[in-house]
Amino acid sequence: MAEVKLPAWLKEARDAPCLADGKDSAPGFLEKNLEGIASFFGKMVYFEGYASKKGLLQAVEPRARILGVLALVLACVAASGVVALSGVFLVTLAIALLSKVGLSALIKRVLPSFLFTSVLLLPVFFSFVTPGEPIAGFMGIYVTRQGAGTAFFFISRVSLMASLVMLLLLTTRQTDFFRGLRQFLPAFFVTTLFMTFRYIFVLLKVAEDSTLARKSRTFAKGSLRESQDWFASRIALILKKSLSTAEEVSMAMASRGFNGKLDAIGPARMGKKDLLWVGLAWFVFFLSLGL
Amino acid sequence: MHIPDGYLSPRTCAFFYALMLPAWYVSSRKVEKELKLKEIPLLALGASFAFVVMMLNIPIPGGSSGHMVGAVVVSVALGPWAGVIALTIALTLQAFIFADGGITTLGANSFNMALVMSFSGYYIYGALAGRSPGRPRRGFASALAAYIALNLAALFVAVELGIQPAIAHGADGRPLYAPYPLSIAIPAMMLPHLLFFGPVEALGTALIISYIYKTDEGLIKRREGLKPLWAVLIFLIVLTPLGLIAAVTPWGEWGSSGIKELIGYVPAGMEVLGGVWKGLLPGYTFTFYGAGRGASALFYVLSAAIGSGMIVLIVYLWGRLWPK
Repeated sequence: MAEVKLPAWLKEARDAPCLADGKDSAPGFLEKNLEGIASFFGKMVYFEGYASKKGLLQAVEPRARILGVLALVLACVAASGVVALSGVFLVTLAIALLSKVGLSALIKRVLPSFLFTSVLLLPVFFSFVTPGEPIAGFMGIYVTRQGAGTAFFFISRVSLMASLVMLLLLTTRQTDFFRGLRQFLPAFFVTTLFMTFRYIFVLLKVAEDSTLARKSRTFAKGSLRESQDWFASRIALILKKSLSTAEEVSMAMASRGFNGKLDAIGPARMGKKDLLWVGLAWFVFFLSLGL
Repeated sequence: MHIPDGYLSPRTCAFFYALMLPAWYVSSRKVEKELKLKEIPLLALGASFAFVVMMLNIPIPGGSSGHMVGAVVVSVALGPWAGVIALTIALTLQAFIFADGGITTLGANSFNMALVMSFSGYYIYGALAGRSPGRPRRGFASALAAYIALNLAALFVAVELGIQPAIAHGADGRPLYAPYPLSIAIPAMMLPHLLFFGPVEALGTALIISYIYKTDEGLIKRREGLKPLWAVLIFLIVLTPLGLIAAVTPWGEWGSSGIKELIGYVPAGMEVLGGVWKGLLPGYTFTFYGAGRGASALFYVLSAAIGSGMIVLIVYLWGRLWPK
């Protein structure tokens, strides 16, 4: 058997550990993308959990649920005073409790929106943006009563609206949601919306697989140019996959007799409790207009 | 770029929904005509593609990464009309299913990201790239188109937010919605977009479009003529006399006297430099002509036409001089 000759560089003893030694480094774009995709898939599972509980919103027909929450969202937009906004807040709190959505879960979901708006509104508290009656301050910069009032009101409105939308999402299965939307929007639009929702998962899986494949073959950071070329090639791959899948789906639809017309199962009749819910929600909306 | 619920007044939200309804209608009719039976799967997959592009991070210099809107990639790949629909669907899903963006602000968000970005990016790219561009020119055209389109959309967002204190406030003058006036909203929105997000969008778009052309040109929709661009340009020129109806000086266009009226004095630097360059058509009028209102309107339109003509000439010369 011939002697195997190892190259000199392989026999060299090096003091420094190799690059793939598990050192912590800042996450690159691959890690961020994988994290983003995983959190997206996780969020979907998380949403479904609350929809199967027996609560107030879950008991209402999806169409009525959307209509009612929409009324409350509009009440928030229309509210021009603290009284109206506080009223909608109390109603939202009651709905969350009766729908068995834990407050901690709701706060956790709304927290990013709250923090983003709070940081954005920080300068509004101070006299250099909102002149007025000083409350506290140092070195000539004051928090003004008017500034604090404006900022609190705005942050409350934005957080409350985010909470209402989140309540609707948490308590509604996606299929029910699209069925409900079909009553308000053209069938063409809702079908496309539903199909988009389904294919996002397919395309994200393609993105995840290719990112994971690259990460598992990476032991040193590539050059920026090479990483960017790889990124562009993956987006092109996803575009190619989108167009080829669209072609296949349209052929599958045509071969099953699809002629461009969309027929769907008609909506279930709204019961008394559904109508009562819609009536109460819109009552809150009209009340908020005058307060 | 996504405006959340609660930032815009009901009047603004209603205005943008009303503005987008005909745009959505025309887009869906156009798409229906072009795509026939295939429209639903193609639009759905196009929207899914738009969604995924928005989600992914692109590697940028300095070891960091950033997000892109991807509207120009989508509109160049699918065409501007299908781009409007695909991006609207992606934005609707983000608002309704993932609570990103707002339900009441969906009209405004669609206007900024689906309509403005899609159309401006598509036609700027078409005008700059010409018929059969070489690789460097295509890369440059797509980068510039993405950069301008994103900043144009950001400017619209800034104006939408910045006008809120003026149009929606409480009895005591307290702003009820986005509280920053235009003087703060515009620089706060534009600086990061001009300096950071714009270059990221430009880089990402150029990389993707160049790659697609290099490997599989068939993925890109055949470009439409520039007719719609001319229509928009003519429409804007016709609208320019509306500026004469406005009683106040446009924001940021004050002369020295206007500045003095507003802040009580004229900054020294402005006094020195002000009036050095009179312009070819000072005050948008020919100085030898009388200052009648009708004549002013006529010359205002003429000035706009000359200005637009100069832009067109620059774009034309650009197309002739840049090597294919």
